[in-house]
Amino acid sequence: MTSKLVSPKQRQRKKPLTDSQIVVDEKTQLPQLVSRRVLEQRYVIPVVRIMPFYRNLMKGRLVGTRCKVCGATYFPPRGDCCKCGSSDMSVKKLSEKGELVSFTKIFVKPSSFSQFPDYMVGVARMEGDLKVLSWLRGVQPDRVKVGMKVAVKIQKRVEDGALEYYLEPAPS
Amino acid sequence: MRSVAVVGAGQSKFGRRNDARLDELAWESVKQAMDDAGIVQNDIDSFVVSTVGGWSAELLPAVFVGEYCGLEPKPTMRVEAACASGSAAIYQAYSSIASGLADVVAVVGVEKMTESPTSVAVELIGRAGNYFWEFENFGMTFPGYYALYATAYLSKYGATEKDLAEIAIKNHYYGSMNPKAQFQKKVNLDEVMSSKYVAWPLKLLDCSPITDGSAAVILASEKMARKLTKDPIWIRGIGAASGTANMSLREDFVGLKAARLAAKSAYQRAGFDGDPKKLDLAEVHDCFTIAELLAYEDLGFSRKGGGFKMAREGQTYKGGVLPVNLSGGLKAKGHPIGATGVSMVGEVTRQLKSQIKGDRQADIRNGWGLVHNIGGTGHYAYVTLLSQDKGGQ
Repeated sequence: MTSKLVSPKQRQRKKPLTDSQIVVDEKTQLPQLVSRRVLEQRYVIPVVRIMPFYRNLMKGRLVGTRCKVCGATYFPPRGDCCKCGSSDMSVKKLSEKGELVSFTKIFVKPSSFSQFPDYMVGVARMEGDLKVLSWLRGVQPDRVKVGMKVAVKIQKRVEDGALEYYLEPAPS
Repeated sequence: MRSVAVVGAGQSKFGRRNDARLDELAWESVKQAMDDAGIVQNDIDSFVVSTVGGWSAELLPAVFVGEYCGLEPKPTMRVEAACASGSAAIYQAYSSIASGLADVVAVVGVEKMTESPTSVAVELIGRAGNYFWEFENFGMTFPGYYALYATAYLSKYGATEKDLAEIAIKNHYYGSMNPKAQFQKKVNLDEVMSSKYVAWPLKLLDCSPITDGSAAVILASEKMARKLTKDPIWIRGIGAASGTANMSLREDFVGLKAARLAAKSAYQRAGFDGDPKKLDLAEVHDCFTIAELLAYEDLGFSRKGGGFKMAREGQTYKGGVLPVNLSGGLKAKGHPIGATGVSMVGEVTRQLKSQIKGDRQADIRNGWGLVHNIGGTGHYAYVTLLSQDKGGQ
């Protein structure tokens, strides 16, 4: 038997120092340091070379780029041609019509997209053979088929104000 | 080029490892691998650390791990090739031995994914691809990327979600026998089919989990390998290739071009004709069930569009054409991103030496094994062929 009696000397002993961030994990009962140092990160990314893309998007047009020297076409748009080395590029308007190559519906979303309802993503091959990946709107998932005709639309997205291009079923 | 052998392998228990820090977790594998090779730190010329990070605290994992493992002041670097980082680190170590720069190199793969909440891990993996065009506005996720492949594959070849489930069932079956696996339990068809959708048509039980873990291997030149062990396992060829960052630039969604190119190059280097019957086992990158089906085809184990039939017929269980993922695969063993490739090479090494306890030990007849390790969604691809036989003259 151990005695629970505390001697007067022990009673005077100071309380041990504690660190509020050393905690016991609920699931495993193992001690952890929950770091005090919190980092918020937001990237600032140059769009200098692809401003023609944004200017066209603002006018409701989705464009890629064409190299003025060798004629290579690109989507996503870019400022430099890696095929011939030229940086002399012009805009290339994408066909508004295409065919769905594949799609998915995202149920487990990244935390930075938690304000959105579950969304569908599609990849379409546009006439002229450039492909576009974007959200697929205006159709129930069970009505979507690989190979269906789709069109590109542009809108200002309500939830976050992004100027967004998206795919939707093309009227047949 | 000089011959290179695996002379030691170690692996930690995979799972939620909040009992250990990143460096402590790495040490578990480094210690085992050094003991297995019969060497100490002084025998090691350099070490390569494979960690993707972002979810864990330490930004310089190579020196953090090196210090704890007593490897400082040996030369080191961290290597990143997404989920194929482990194979990329082995490729780096292999190259430095083959070229004569080093005789003994340690490869350490370690990942501590649960130092951040699951939602942060999901976010970070989703950003790995093309952040600017595909994440910023469209919130792609890693399951989402592979789901694009699953949708296109199922649609083109008439495979079903049940065919995908067969992969999960097989890999959990073998995982149930692996004491180091995250999930050591079998799953049945109903459980897989009724699990929740993560990214249609992929469900929770089609996906590999978020995992902490480490793995280490010791590579050596022929001269050192002969001194250290009577049964070195030779790296007969590594093939590597890359894919586009943007999914919109992929030619199709029914196979991974980078994997086909990596396989072709590895097969050429090893003088292997691609006949799966000549291999005793393969560890392939089943981060999602669809990825294993694509692997069968990209590696030439089946014709294009025939991968799901191999799964349906159980041809990749022991006793079939070729046993695949006897470790439980990423699916059941777990997928600590930077450790995965190292773990795969360690597993095939131990299999070829018949060191695995129980029913998941492959029957070793030809002495050859294959590792297929993909980073991202075919953004990186590495294929490695290992053999009991050194080959050459």
